[in-house]
Amino acid sequence: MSGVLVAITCALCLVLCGWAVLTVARDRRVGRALLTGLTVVELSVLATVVDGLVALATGTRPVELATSVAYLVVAPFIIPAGTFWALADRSRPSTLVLAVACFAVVVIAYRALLLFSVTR
Amino acid sequence: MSTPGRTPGRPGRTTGLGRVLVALYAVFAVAAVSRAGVQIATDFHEAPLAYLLSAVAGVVYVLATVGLGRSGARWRRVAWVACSVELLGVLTVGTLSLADAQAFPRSTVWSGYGSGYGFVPLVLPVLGLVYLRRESRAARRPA
Repeated sequence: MSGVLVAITCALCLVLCGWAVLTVARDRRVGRALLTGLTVVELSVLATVVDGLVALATGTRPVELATSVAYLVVAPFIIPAGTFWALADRSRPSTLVLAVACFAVVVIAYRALLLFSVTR
Repeated sequence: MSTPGRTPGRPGRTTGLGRVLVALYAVFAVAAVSRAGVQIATDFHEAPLAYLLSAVAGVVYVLATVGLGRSGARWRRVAWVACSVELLGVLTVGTLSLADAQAFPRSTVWSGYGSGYGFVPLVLPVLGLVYLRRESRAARRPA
């Protein structure tokens, strides 16, 4: 699993996380720019997941295989689910849901990288 | 806009900070359920008690997520019970895991008061109960 891809995904997520917090702090609503940013993050997540799947297909065997696969399966759904949950209620604090989702992706991507680096 | 909790037009719907809470709970529900699923499927015999506790924790998180996320008195009650059980669980398991490490050879979300998860498992039920209390007060207050 590519450390560079994970790093890019995490960096993008942290930027979006900060962006969401700023949006709440400045009392703005979620705009098209933020949604575009979320799309970019999601694409990055998908690229990371595909990279992980390719690693599995080409013989990488993490010691905690089941957990690693679970991370790859769950990861793509976090941003869409968070976006849906945040936008379904257009109140000021609900934008923080996006920050939660982005942070969750950071944790998942980093943990997945750690899991994939311990192979048998 | 300034009152988190309820929007006047749609009573009972989870809005504002409540939605953030539900999002946090959802993350932990997925994490705890998947973790328990993996543990039970791969090596249940190694630490049945810890793994069963993981499963119970997962179910409690799911119930809290749904209870906080849906409207209606019945779901509120589910959320109350789930958050209370969760607080009790994290305190009990946290204390036991420190006092008698042998009983918990494999960690659960609640071991060490959730230290493996940045103590969020300890904070979450408190936030949940505070939110529910505030909400029920707001509901009783005449509009």
